[in-house]
Amino acid sequence: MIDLLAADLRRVLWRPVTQALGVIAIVVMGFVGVVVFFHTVKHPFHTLTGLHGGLGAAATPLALGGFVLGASVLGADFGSRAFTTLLTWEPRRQRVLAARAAACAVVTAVAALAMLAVLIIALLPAVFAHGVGPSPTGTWCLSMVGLAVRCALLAAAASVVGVSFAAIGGSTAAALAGAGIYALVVEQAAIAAVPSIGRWLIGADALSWIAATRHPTISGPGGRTNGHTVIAAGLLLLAVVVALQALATTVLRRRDIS
Amino acid sequence: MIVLLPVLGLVWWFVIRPSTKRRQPTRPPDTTGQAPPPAPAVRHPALVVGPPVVDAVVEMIGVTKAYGRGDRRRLALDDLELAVPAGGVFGLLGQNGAGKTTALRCLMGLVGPTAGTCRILGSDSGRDLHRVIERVGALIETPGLSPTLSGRRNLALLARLDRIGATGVDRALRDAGLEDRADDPVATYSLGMRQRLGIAAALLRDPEVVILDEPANGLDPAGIAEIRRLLVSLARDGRTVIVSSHLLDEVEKTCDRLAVIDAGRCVAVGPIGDVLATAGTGTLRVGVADLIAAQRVLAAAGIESTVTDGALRVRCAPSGAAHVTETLAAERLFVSELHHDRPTLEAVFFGLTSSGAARRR
Repeated sequence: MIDLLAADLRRVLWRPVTQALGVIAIVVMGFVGVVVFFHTVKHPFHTLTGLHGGLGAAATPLALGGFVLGASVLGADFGSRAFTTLLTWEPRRQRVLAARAAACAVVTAVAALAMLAVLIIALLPAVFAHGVGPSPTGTWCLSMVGLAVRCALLAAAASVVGVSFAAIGGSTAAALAGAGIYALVVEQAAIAAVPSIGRWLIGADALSWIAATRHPTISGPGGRTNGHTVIAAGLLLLAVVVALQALATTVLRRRDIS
Repeated sequence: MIVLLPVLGLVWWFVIRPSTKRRQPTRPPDTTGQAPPPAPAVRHPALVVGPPVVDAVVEMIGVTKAYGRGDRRRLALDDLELAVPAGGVFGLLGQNGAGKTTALRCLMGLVGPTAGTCRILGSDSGRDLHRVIERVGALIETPGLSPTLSGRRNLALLARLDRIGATGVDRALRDAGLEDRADDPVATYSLGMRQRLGIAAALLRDPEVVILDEPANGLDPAGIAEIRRLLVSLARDGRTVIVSSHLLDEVEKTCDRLAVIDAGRCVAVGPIGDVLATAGTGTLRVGVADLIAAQRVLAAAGIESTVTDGALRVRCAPSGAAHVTETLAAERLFVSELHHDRPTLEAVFFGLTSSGAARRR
């Protein structure tokens, strides 16, 4: 299993899509820093406490990037039949899938932490030039680290979900379409039909996980509702990730591989 | 998350449940206590020639693979029986769509058979192939490689699974003749280069059993000859090589044994010489000055012959040539030409398969 994981870590890191996503993220975050520095003054983001908001805002694109990475790493291998070749070396599909998901999660989490570090560095000039507010304290530093870790874990979870969707759908396109339909149609329709269901949906719990307030308010088409606590949201997201991975394993074990 | 439940339910209903039904055995175990119904008769017995295989390295026992359901149900494999002995090159011969690749996919656990069992080195392909996978190398259909990665990195990723070092990868690339292009993306490789890289990947861990599906696909004549030499040398080293092909000439030149697959069934299996012998012993072409006299002399000795294209044709094995020439020489009829035309694999193939039947019609 260790050898499989090591090989998959290399596979994920060597993929051009991984490198492209990394470069794009660094460029975008650097660009955000430049824009913030030149075009705004006395903005809450410019205070040290306001950096929280900056990191929180980065969670969504990082999660999306993680999902795309996970879906493409498996989907592309289905397309090129590299997955078939891999199965002639390791026929235990559940291991192959678990290793691939773990590799994506590790790479995404580490990359997300690195991206957030880049974002902080990009925003620091604006903080020093235009910033107002209190000096950093131990509590502030701890909360920043906690937020960064939660962002990284969310992105890692999204990459595992991406791998699961690709395994179920059999391609990157199917994974992206499935995720799009769920986020844009299923969740919105569910909230519109039963507003109180909002706090049980992935989107709301992801927000609760990042916000980390005791009872965050979730806004949606059906109105406003109280979200779960950070622990409850984290556990529910973990349950979804595990359930999807289990389903993906079952589907993959039964699928004929061409 | 609640919304996910019906989504997961739909996936279960449409994706998992059908495949579960598909995998139900065609002959369920008897739980009624009554006498089991008689097993269906084998509808298409294969022509088995030569001695039976003992201690088979690879076995396929009653393997059936069906795709689709209802009216669209199509049998890719139909009660396929195969036994491959250790050592030598075993050819799976069949026209396109005969079921060769599906058979090899079943063997490698990539496709689950609807019924039957596949075994490699004693392990069930569907359950515990991982126990012996280190002793098996396979190339199924076109090589499956990441096109964006270089040939070296593709091999390195596989090599890492068995802790094969960079030296092993370099040697495989050198053997495949890809040293110069090793660091180029596979997407820039020609079909022949990809095929060579795929074969290199299959041989990377020095396997006991080598399974190659159409290895000559996309190769030029020199490449095909190279593959032929490779297969023979692998067999000479004591490995068991299973190779599928629709190239009759290549199979005849390379394989020790062969199985002819037609419409998912094995229609003939055995040592290649014995399979060829099923089409007869061949004919002896005998050139003599006086054909009529020679024919009369042979007839008197109980040897039937015909006159065709300015020569006598005698149906007999090559060993019969001595008796023919001796009989003629005794009557001072001296042979000016002697040639044994053995039956070709093409003649045997078309005699056994549905494509041959279509031709005859």
